[in-house]
Amino acid sequence: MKRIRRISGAEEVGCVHGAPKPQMVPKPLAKPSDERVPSGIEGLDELIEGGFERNSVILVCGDAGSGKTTLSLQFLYNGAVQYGEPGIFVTFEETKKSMYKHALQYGWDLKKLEDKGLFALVEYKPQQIAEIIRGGGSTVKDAIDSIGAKRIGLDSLTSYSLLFKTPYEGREAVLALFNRLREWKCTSMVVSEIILQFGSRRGEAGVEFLSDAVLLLYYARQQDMKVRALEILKMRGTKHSDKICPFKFGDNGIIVFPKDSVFGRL
Amino acid sequence: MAQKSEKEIEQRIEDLPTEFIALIISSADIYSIAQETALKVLIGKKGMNGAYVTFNRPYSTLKATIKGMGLDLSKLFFIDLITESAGGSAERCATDNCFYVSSPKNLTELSILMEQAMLRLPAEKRFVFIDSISTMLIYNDPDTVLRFIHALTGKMRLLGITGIIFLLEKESDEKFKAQVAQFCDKVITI
Repeated sequence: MKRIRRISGAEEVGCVHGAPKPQMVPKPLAKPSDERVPSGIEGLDELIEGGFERNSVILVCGDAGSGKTTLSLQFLYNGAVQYGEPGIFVTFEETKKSMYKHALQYGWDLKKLEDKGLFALVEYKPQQIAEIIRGGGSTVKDAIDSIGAKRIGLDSLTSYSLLFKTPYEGREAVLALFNRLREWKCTSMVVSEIILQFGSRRGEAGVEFLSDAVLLLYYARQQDMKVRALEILKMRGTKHSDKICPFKFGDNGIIVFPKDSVFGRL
Repeated sequence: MAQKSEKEIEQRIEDLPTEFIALIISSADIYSIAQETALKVLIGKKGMNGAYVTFNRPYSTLKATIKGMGLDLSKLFFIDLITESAGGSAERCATDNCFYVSSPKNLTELSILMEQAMLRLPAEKRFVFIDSISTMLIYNDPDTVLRFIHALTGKMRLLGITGIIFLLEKESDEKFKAQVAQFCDKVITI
């Protein structure tokens, strides 16, 4: 009987009729290149051709508690530790002290990275960022240049867009922010809340159209339990997977399961 | 009657080739005998290693039962979907070979853990034992269960793993049985 070769992220050893059964050998980490920036998040990079497009703006959307902040922080942490790409995390939501403390539950010592010049966490009020953007963004640019940052995390767009009185103004401001992020030549992950209601989605004044990529994190109720899943809604210049994949919070951060499925309705 | 059934079950399972997925439809009165006999053949006679997915009996109970049968417990890896949902506490220690799923409704988590369990088994002579689809149906709708079984049997075939899937005879309709049967190589009705 002809055995079907398993398509897998792992290397197979022996998959011929009569030969030993396939053994799963862990695939080596993808490496950053001029075109691709790996996230280092287990299971995610194989869904996106090895990584995000360099210098792109990636919107990470989801309800409260869906894992958006953790994902973006993990992107920066892995960038610094695995790939030697320093990162800056701009937060409107949480204090530095709180963030560093919560990161330790995954073994991420952000203070240590900061001391090594591989990470910086900047606390801003949303109006400060608006002023910075209007003024050309030199403050943030200085922070980027000081550690040679290649990755930026921003949490969250929701807080930022609430500053503006009309959806039009909000959209214009977000567009200005995204353009500034692109000018800074960093791969940027921007967190945004989104309200999922019975399959419909309501985003932030259409910002998903302004970004280069959109990841949607589900934290959905199924009867009396909740299920976590990730969907790549859009990714320019990338043959990304259309599958909705389950993910979990492991001991060292988020793990995506690209070969598994979500059972039941989200 | 029980003795005759045990012999019949033993023979029918022994006759199955390896890398074969069998759906065993059993009546309630000989269900336990059928399961124990199947395990005796797979582990005791064929020397296989397996992943035991239990919706019915907690790991703590199964450990004792299997030891009592004189079988080598180290040949089994368990996935327990009953302990935590029934309010019990999971026995988590480095030497224990059991994963716990929070709820029998959480087939997503089960699928993830099954993949991990299957990869933990040795390269040759391995099986997956599901007890049972009937209980799975109590907590999940038939379409979801069918999708799950279809995905699972697909993975088992790719990895060359034998499958033994249990279903209670009178607990599901004929259409459902037929749909599950199409994912399997053989149906054994006891």
